[in-house]
Parts: sequence; C-alpha cells; structure tokens
Amino acid sequence: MKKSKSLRLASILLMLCLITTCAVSGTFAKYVTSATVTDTARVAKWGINMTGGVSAFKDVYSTDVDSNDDAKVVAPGTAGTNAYTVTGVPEVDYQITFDYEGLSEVFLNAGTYYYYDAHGEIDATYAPVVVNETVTSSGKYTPVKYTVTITTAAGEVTGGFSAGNLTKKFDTLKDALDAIKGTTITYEANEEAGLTVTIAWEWAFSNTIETPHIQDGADTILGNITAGTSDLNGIPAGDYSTTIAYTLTMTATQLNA
Amino acid sequence: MPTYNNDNRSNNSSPRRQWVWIMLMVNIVFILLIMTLGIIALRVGNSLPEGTDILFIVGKNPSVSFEDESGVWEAGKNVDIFKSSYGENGGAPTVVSQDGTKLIAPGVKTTYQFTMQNNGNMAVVYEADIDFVLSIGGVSQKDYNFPLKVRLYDDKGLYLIGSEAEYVQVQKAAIAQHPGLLGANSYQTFTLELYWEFEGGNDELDTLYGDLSAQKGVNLTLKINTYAEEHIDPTAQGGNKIEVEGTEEYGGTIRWLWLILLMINSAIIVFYIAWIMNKREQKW
Repeated sequence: MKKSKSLRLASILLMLCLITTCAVSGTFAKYVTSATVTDTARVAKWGINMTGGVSAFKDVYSTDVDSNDDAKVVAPGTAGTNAYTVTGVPEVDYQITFDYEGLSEVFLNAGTYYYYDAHGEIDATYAPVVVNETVTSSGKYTPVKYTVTITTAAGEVTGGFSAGNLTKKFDTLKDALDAIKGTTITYEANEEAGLTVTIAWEWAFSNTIETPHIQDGADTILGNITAGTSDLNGIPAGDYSTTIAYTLTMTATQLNA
Repeated sequence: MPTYNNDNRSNNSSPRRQWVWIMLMVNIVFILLIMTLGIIALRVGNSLPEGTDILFIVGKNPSVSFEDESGVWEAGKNVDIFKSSYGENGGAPTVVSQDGTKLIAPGVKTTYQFTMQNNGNMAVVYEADIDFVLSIGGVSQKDYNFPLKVRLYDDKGLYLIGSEAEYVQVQKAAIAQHPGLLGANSYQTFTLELYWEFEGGNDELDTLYGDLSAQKGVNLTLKINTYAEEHIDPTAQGGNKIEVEGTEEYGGTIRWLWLILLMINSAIIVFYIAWIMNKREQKW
C-alpha cells in the first residue's frame, strides 16, 4: 500500500514536469509575416478609325446632268470618286480585310433591240440597236468603268492587290469589288495604318479611241428605260439594270501570336 | 543468544543511507528547478530574442522570404509580372509598347514565378491572393468586367487560385482557395498565370478597352499578397526540403536530451522513494 503511494507520488511529480515543459513550447508569441509586391500595365492601344461611305454619286454634275427629282444619277459623261480610309497606330499586329454586299451596277444584256409603235408593231423608222457585250463572254454591256487605288503608309498588301500593283482598272463594279475583297493588308504593331481605298467610276460620253466600249445606242436604250418610255416593248427586267449600288465593309482585326 | 546492538547496526549502514538521501535531494531539487525555470519561461519567453533557447526548449528562429528571378521581394517593390512586348515561342513580338510601358492585350498569356523560402526552424502555414485595380483616364473603377484571368499554383501542381481546368476572373481572385503548408528549411515555387482570351472572348469589350486606352489610357495594377504564420506543429512537413548540416531542430520543441534527463531523474526519484519506503517497512 505504502509502495503504491510513493509510486503514485513520484508519477504525479513526473507528470507535472512533463506538463510544464510541454506547456512552455506552446505559449510563445505566434510568428506572422506578410509580403506584397505590385506591378502595373496599360491595355495595349487599339484606336482604329474608319471613314468612308459618302456617296460618290450626285444629283447634279457639272457636265449639265441634273436630276429632276433630286435622286442621285449617273449618265454618259459623268464621273465620281469614293474614298475609304483607315487610320490609327495600334500596339498590336493587325490586319485589314474587306467585304461587300448589295451590289447593283448599270448594264444591258447584249442583243438586238427594236423600237415599237403605238400599235406594238416594230417601228421601221428606227433602226434596230445591236448591243455588244463589253467584256468578252460576259453577255452584258457595262458602260461604267472603275479604277481602284490602294495607298497605305505601311503594311504588306496581298491578294487582289499587291505591292507594285496598287492601281487597277475594271470593266465591271463586281470585278472591282471582288479584287478589293480578295485583298488583305497586314501591319505590325505600331505601324500606322494610313490606308486609303479609292473607287473611281466613269461613264464616258462617247465612243472614242480611249473609250471604245461606249455604244450610244445602248446608252440611249438605258436612258429610255429609266424614263419609262413605251418605245421599247417589254425588255425583261433581268436583261438590264439602271442603278449602281454597293456597300463596302472594312474590318480591322488584331492578329494573335 | 546474541542480542542486537542497535548502535552497531546503525553505525554500519549510515554512510550509504546518507548518500542515498543526498542523491534523492539532488534529484528533487533538479526537478523543482526545471519546473520553476519552466514557469519563468512561460512569463519571459515572448520577450526574448528570436532563436534564444529556453532551457531545454529549442528557440524559435523564424525566417520566411519571397524572391523572384530578379531578387528578394522588398516592401513596396515593383516586380515584372507584365512585359512591354509579347511574342510567342521566341518569335517576332505581336504586342509592342510604343513607349516602353508594360502592356496587356487580347491573346497575351504570361507567367510570373516566385519562390517562398522558409529558412527558419518552424513550419508555417501560408495564403496568397490577388488585388486588382482598374483605372480609366486615371479614375479607379468600381464595377467593371475586365477580361483578364489568372490562376496560381505551386510546383507540385496544387492550385491556390483557379484550377488546371479554368482560370479565375482577375477581379474575383481576391480570396485564396485554401492555405498551404511549408515546412522548416523548405522552399516552394509558385507560378502566376495571366491570360486574356483571344478567341471565344468578347470582341466588342476587348475593342472598347483598346480604344479607351488609345484615347485616355486604361491601366491596371496587380498586387500579390502573401501571408505566413507559424504552424501549430513546428515539425510539419511541406514543400521542397533544403538540406541542412547537422541535426535539424524545430523551434519550440523540447530537446530530447533534456527530456531523457528529466525522465531518468524522475525514474531515479521513484526508485529512491520506493527503496526508502521498502526499508521502512522492513524496519517496522
């Protein structure tokens, strides 16, 4: 009995020592530290601006062409220019591409056309008009010609236009727009766009050495169609067009690495 | 019959008994001294210099630092998280600053690595989070949607922000997902990834920010905040071990030598007391 008491006393003593030492290790102040670092950046500049779309067509021309209803018109002896520009100096590589829609251009199907009298009979006092196609195998007379010029401050032009061949003439508006649509201009970061795309059109007045494609008879027919004269009997609607229209879209796109 | 002579008998055993009593007292004093000093350590331990051993308790010697490839982080230091130009795989850069200012742009994916070093003798638990400030024309914005995404992970692939499958919008990366553990004499390397999505993002928003930057400047400030505090178990392991010379001791732990001495002394006391009690019983 006395042995167990002494043992118990010694055990209690031992436990007190161990508890004391263990408690000490857990009572010191807790170490805490922190660190913060910072960095700042700016969003890379884009800043592309585009202008254009102002109509190249008028209701009054200096060549004595005057619309009688203020509608914009085209006629033999008229011409105009439309310019589209892109400016800006982005801090990223970028590319300019083109597309178009809503195309309509003046044409008359090649063929022989007759004038009719009030009875619907061919009027023999008027010679039939033979209209030839402007472009071989196109089947159409297209009196308006187009000249497209691309100028750029920098960048690489590829596709429909390319370096060294930045001005081209086209017999049709579709050919001109197709060439523009097939063109891509690629710029490196910080190269100024300075891009101008000019579409010039001209309906020559008469057939000359420089403008051998003009056919006065066909021009007259087109003018009579617009005037709504009944001298021309039932030319199908699909055989002609007396309007020019298009919408050109330019897109600037950042190039990824 | 011979009779016992008490005097003779006591004279023959007194030197050894005295020696036993002396040793017993020494041990008891030793135990009491340790307990007393331990109590004193309770009072003064917090005010002693770091690394000071408290009797048989290893002194705490904390030492946590952060560094990147350009050196140790210092208070208020700017680091190179962003760059002034970006290109892919050593090719020609496609994003280039006009004035040397660091930039960020759609399509940019960049990383920043830093290392947390625990050269102390205690394990620490840590957290890391991101602060992000967007300003347009010098005015800090409050409610905005900025297309930059981030994620943060260690060299063992444990993600503190984001995951392997997804990034987190930078303005939502302010809260760490979970704490990490770094053992004594260990290090851990972290990678911060920043990504502005090129395909599949919001082109209109991207263009808006680019135009605004050209007109009035759009700037963003990124802060990496790290916190470390002593782990409850100084011997906890985590991170990559740094080899140390000699025996590794952990701050706040009891030196085994002292513990052994304490136990031996206690055992001796137990033995003495039991022996004395036994002798008394025999006498009675």
